[in-house]
Amino acid sequence: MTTITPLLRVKERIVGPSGIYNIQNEWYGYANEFKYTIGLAGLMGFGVGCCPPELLPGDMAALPGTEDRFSANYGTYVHLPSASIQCFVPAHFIDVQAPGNTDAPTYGTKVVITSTPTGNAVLARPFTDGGGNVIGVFIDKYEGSNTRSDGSGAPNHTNGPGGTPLTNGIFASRPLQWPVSPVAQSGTLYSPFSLCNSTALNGAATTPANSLGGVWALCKTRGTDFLPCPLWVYTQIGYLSLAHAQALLTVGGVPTVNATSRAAWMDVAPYLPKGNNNSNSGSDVNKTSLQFARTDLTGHTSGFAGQASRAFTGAARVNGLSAVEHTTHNGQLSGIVDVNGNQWGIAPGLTSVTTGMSAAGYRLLPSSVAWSSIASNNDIRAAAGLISLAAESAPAADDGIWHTAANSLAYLQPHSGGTFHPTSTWAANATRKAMAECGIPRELGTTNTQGSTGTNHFGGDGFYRSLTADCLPLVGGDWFGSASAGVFDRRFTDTPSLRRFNGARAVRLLSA
Amino acid sequence: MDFRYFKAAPDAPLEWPTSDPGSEPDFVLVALERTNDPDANNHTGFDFFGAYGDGAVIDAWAVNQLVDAINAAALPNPVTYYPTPFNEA
Repeated sequence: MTTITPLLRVKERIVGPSGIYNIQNEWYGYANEFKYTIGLAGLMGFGVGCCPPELLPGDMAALPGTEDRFSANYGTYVHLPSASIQCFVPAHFIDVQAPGNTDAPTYGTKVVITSTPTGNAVLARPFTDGGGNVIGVFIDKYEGSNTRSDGSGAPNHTNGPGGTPLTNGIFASRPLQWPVSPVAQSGTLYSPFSLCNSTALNGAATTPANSLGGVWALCKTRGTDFLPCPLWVYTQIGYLSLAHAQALLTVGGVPTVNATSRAAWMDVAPYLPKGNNNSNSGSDVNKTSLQFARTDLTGHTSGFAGQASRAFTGAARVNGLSAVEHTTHNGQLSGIVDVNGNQWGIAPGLTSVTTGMSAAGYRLLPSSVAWSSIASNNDIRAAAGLISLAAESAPAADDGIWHTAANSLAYLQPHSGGTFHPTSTWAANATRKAMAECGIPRELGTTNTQGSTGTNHFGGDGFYRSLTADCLPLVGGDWFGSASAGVFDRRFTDTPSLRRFNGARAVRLLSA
Repeated sequence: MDFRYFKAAPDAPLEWPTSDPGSEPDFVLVALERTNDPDANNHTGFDFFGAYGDGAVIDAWAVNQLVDAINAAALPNPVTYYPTPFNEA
C-alpha cells in the first residue's frame, strides 16, 4: 500500500516594524510569494522585489541572490544585450496621510506602502500605464553611462573609465562609470549623450541630441522597450525612502536599535538617502565621511567624472571602503543608487504649455496614455486626456499649484494637512493627485533657510519654482547643490533644448 | 579667492547659498565635519564648515547665521573632509 503524504502549504504572517506612526505593517500569504511584493517598510528587501519568472523578458536574467531578500542583488536583474543592471520594483499601493502636525521628526507627512489595497491606499502612479496595470518597473540601478555595444558593459572610452569617451556607445546602467550628460565639450571633453549612438541593439535608434530633450533617444539605444524614467517614478522612489525611514523610527522619533542594518542612512539625520551634494566637494553635506572621489578608477588625479566633483556611478566610500548603501533609496545594497545629488535626473512626464504660462499651465500625461508612445514634451501636450493642473484659487486654499513667482528656490514646507496632498483627497481633485504624484508640495515653502522650518525630514529638499514654458523637470539635485538636493528635490525651470550636466535613467515597464 | 572657516552647533539651521547651474556663485559653503556622523574623524560636539569665494560676501552671510568664525588652525585635526580648494589654500 502506498501512503500519500499531502504537501501542505501554510500561509504565514510576516511583520515589519510599526515605526513612528505605529502602523500595522504586515503581510499574509505563502512565504515563497513574499519576494514578488514590494516588501515591508523597515525590513530587508523593502523597496525592490522579484519579477515573476514567467513574466521576465527573455533578454533579462536574474543575478546570484536576486531572490534572496538578504542579498545585495535582491530584486536585481541584468539586461543581457547591454549588461545594464536594473532594480525591479513590484507594483504596490500608497497611502499618503496627514497626521495633523508639523512636528519633528516627521513634519506632517505619513506614508504607508502596502502590496494590497487598504483604506485610502491607491495603486501608485508608476503601475498604471496606457489604461492598464503594470506588474512592476525595472529601473536603472545606476545613472546611465556610455558603454560598448558588444554587451560587455565595459566603458566605451579609451584607456578605461578615465579615458576619452568614444562614439558608437550604448546607454547603460553600470557601476563605477562616467555618467553621461547633454554637454559635449567645454574646454574638456565630457561624456555627452550624442556618443551613445549605436544601433546594435535597436536598428531604429537615432543619435540623441546633446540637450535635455535627447533623453528619449538616449534610452532607446538600449532597445525599444527602454524609456526615460518619468517624474512619477522618481517621486515614488522618494515615497519608498520616506516610508522606510518612518518604519525605522521609534514613536519617540529616534532610530530603532537595528535601524542602520536595515537602512545605512539611518545613522545620520536627515534619515533619507545621502549623496554627492556637498557644494562641489565630493561628499555628503550631512555625512561628510561619505566621499565620492575614486582616483583609483579614473586614471585622472581629480577622482571625478570629467567635471570637478561629479562622481562616477556608485562611487560612495567611507574611509576608503565602498559605502554605496548610504546612497540607495532603501539604504541597502539592493537599492537604486545615487538618488540624492551627483547629477540632476531628467524626469519627463510633466510639462507646461508653450504660451501664456502661469501656475495653471502645467500639464501631466494621464495614465491612460502609454509612456512608450511619448517621445517629447510636444507628445505629452498632444496626448488625449491631458491633465491640466489648476492654479490655487487663493493663498492656502490647498486646491492647486501655489507659486506665482518665478525662478527662486524654497524649501519644502511642513503642513498640518500634509506636506503632500493626502491620498484621501485625490479622488475629488485631480490636481491634488497630480501634485502628490509629481512631488509638488501642498504649499509654498516660505523660507530658503535649510532646517529652520523643520525640513530636515526631507533633507532640506528644495523646490525650484518657475513659470518656464515647455518645462522638462529635473529631480534629485547635483554635486554642487547642498542647498537643494534629495529625493524630493524638484526643479521646473529647464527646457528640452538646454545643455546641462544632467543625467538620466531608463525604465522598462512590465505590463500585466 | 578668500577662505573662511566656521563652527556651529550640531545640525544648526544654516542658510545655504543656492546655486544655479548656469551662474557662478559668490561663494561656496562646504560641510567639513559633522559631529553626529558616526564615521567622522572627531566628535567634538560641533559641526565645522569652510567657505571660499568673495570674502566680503561670506562675512556678510555669516553675520546672520548661527556660526562662529574660526581660523583654519582651530579645525579638528584631521578634519573629516578637507577637499580642494581648501587643501591648496
